[in-house]
Amino acid sequence: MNQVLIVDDSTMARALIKRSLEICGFENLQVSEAIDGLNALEILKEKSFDLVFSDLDMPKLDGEGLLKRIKSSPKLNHIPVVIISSKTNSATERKLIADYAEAVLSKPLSIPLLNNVLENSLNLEKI
Amino acid sequence: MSYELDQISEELTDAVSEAFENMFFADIENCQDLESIETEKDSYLISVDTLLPFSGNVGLVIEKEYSEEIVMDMTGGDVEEINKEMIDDAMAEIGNTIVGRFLSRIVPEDEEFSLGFPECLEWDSNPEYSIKSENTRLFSLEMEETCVYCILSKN
Repeated sequence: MNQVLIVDDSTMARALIKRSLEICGFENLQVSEAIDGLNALEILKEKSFDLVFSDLDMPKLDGEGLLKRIKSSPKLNHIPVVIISSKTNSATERKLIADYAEAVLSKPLSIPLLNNVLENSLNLEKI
Repeated sequence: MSYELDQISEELTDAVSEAFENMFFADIENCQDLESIETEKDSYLISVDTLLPFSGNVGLVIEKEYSEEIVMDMTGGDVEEINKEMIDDAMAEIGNTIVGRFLSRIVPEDEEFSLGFPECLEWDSNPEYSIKSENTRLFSLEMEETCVYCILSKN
């Protein structure tokens, strides 16, 4: 079972990402949710994850901060982090990729692009 | 670079179409310029300020009934009762997505854009923003069972 963590302070945004993952139609995907970067770090301490999807703008610890904390942790830095945001331009994308983001996806989420990210980041089979 | 309303309007209606298609699989069947917004139905106004590259505002008028359908759709029907908090959250997500997409379409690559926090308000047809003027453009975007109105204004 592949464990995926969705990090976003909006309940509806998390629900949308979760629904988009379901539409992609991969099996063996178990989804957990965190409401901000700090909450995500707490959850990541308790459980092992294979992929993190994170929003950029969040209270307490934003997506960029979360990405840096994950990538600087020897215990977590193997986890691919995908940033999903409605506020990115090319310069921001390049900066996030330089900070070792696996990918940067714009909202609204494109299902084909999400499919590519899942195929490249996880070992998955379609249902 | 100038951001004349008539030159950037299509980018906004394209951003709305893209968002509704990708988020809710809802096709925009017809898009029209309007002189005024006249709707009798109870609606919300999602209001988002544009800060960069121009100072203005984007408003989206969405029927309350349709906003509840949107919440059901976003959650996959997995809710017992829809409350105002859920609607506010869903409308904010839509506002953020649409205005972010709109601004990313109009700024040159690498240039910054910035938007304010979305607000979900009760719609009333205040003439200040429901009638076309020098600094305001209005559009209707028709879908199969509803119509979303769009307001683009510049300060």
